Amino acid sequence: MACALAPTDAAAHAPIPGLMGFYVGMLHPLSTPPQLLALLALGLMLGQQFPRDFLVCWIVFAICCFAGMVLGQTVGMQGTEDAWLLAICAIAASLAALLPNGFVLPWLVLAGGCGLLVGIVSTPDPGHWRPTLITLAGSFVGANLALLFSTGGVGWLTEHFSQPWVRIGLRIIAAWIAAISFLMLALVVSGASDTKQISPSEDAQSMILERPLMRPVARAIQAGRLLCGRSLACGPRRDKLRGA
Amino acid sequence: MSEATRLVIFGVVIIASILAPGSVEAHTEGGLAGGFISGFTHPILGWDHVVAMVAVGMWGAFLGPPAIWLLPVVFPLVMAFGAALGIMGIPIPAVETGIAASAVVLGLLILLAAKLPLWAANVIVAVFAVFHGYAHGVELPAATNSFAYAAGFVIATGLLHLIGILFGLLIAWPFGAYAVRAGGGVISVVGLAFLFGIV
Repeated sequence: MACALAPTDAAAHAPIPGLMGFYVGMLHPLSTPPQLLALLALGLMLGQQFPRDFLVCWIVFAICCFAGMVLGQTVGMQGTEDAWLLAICAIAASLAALLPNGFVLPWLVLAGGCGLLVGIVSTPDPGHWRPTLITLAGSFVGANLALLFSTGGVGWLTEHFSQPWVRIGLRIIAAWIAAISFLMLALVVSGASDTKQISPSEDAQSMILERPLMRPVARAIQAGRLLCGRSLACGPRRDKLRGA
Repeated sequence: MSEATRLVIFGVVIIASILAPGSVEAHTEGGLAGGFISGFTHPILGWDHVVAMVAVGMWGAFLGPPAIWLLPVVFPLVMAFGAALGIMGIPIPAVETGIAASAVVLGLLILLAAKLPLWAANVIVAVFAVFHGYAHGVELPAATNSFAYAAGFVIATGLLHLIGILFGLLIAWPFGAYAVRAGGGVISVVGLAFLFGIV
């Protein structure tokens, strides 16, 4: 009792060297909406048939996550990772909503892609190798734990509650996540950031044209405009928007 | 205390709570909360959207399982696709007409108690969802937080479907079926009013 109550130095943060970096890395996969949504979508996709094919998907995710971290350190980030993460999230959540029985091949591709991108975006700022390694280790553990928890949570729900509304509810949540991802993907692709005025103008197209990876989207826009003509889209809402 | 007295007291408390003076807020909060509120209120403040989304839920309930939950799954997915088209500026013809027509058609389908095959119901709902999503995408304001905006927008849409489903579940009772079909008629009339620019 005396030992427990003995006065010592107050430590508001972890006194173990490197633990803070590990902790920061571990929370990183949960810190941005694209990563969080993608891990949730994967969990909903894999968890509805848990434990079917989960182990192989998880191994692929972990290997790709490691590969992504190596890529992030060597090649660096390209700036389009969030868009790709949101695209994977939208596809995974759509599959979870519409085809909950699923097929293992798309699951593997999506798990691998998600792992790779989460690994790339987990790359910390350049610095000494030791704290970098500790932060990356934290991110690796955090990403894998997040996938385990989301998949396990969904699997537990479907296993312990046999009522049909549980599976229906999960599919509706998956549909909502897919819809949110689609919307965010459109915002990212159109170049509208959180602090920027969002308006569907010609500026959006020119922003897309500037990005090599987004050229197919720009071509689709041009084809759409040729097909329909700009004037056809001018309803009262758009006029109101332009007037404002 | 009689039942009527209890109801009166309950009503007075509710009205007093609503009318109670609070702090004046000229603007909504910024950041995450502002984005969510902005997104959440967007589908609710447009009556043409409200009636159509409630109609989707009602028709789903009318069709029974699996349409009761499949239509609310399909609608937000396709609506988000339409919103993406709107955000990126890809043109779609006759958006306003499509939105008003959605209320007219879905209302009529409920009024006539039309039991279409599941695939046909999905196609009809998906086509109209594109118009609704497109209008939301075009009108997207300068949301302070895109994630919060998108989440609020999708959740509000889902809740409107839920209201429709709950109302549609009245078909379990004989009088309820008439009430639901009458509701479909009202939705159809509202849609016509929007179609001809009366409201």
